[in-house]
Amino acid sequence: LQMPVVCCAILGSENQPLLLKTFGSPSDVKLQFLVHSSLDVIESRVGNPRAEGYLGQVLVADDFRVFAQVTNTKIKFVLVVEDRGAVAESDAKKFFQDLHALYTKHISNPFFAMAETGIVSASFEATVAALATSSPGL
Amino acid sequence: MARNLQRAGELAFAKMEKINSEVLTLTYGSIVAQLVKDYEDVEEVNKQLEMMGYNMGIRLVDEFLAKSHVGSCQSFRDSAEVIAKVGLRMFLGVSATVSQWSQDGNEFSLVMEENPLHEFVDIPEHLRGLYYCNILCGVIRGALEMLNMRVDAQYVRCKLRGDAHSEIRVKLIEILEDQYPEDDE
Repeated sequence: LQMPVVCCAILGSENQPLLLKTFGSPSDVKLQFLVHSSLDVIESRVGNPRAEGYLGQVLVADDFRVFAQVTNTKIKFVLVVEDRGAVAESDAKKFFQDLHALYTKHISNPFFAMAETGIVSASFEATVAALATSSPGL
Repeated sequence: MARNLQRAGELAFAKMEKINSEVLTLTYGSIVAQLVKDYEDVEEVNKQLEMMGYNMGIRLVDEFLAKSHVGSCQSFRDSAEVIAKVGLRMFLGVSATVSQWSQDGNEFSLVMEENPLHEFVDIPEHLRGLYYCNILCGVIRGALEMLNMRVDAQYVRCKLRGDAHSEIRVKLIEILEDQYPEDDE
């Protein structure tokens, strides 16, 4: 089961970017565009009360698949993987579970303050990078 | 009489009422964060934490003696072991090891491998000098003072600062004599 993560993003309740990490070759700009496009899909689904939590695959474009998860505080997690055939839902779900856990652990720091530009923390970026590159299949 | 301090610690801990550890760590974290905001100077925050601990220690020691059923300590060495294996275990849930005794037996180190108060905490660069758990130093000082020992307790190593473990150095300054009111006759 391959799940090559190329991008992982966290967006706030106003859709402001809190974290955007890209891995491997695809250009940053292209991935940012993908993340923003997926936001439109997420927004349309979030209106639907049943669409909470794991949203599954929200977009397929070029050679990428985009998955998303929304928390009850409207924080959005977006995952972009290379399209190499079907991705097991359980892998994506597990990834979001782990990412959510990393995120809550980071903001539980009593000294944490959200900067204007989002989460500015080398250690947080490192843990997210470790999670992304250790995803099953890689 | 060989008394198993480890066992005494576990028993005492088991009897204590428990609260959710996240509530504790987040509460303690907000106290420290608020102190940092109020005082702005890291040294002052360390001092305030120690004073808070002192006020806790002078009260906690009675509860400790009542609930732990540990008899009196025969020596300073004994006191050290009791703090490490029973006191800390009972109140914080983790025990420490006593090490690095000084030649004259008046100084020792309390080494802690883990500390529940550290959960989630990441000290930012500009607060480098902060001893996050300095409250514990105060607790030890307060508790021992009620037992007629004046000590000085300082953090020398802290896991949150990147050290391998946390270590408090405790120095016995003097044994206080019981103060009796002067006899009028």
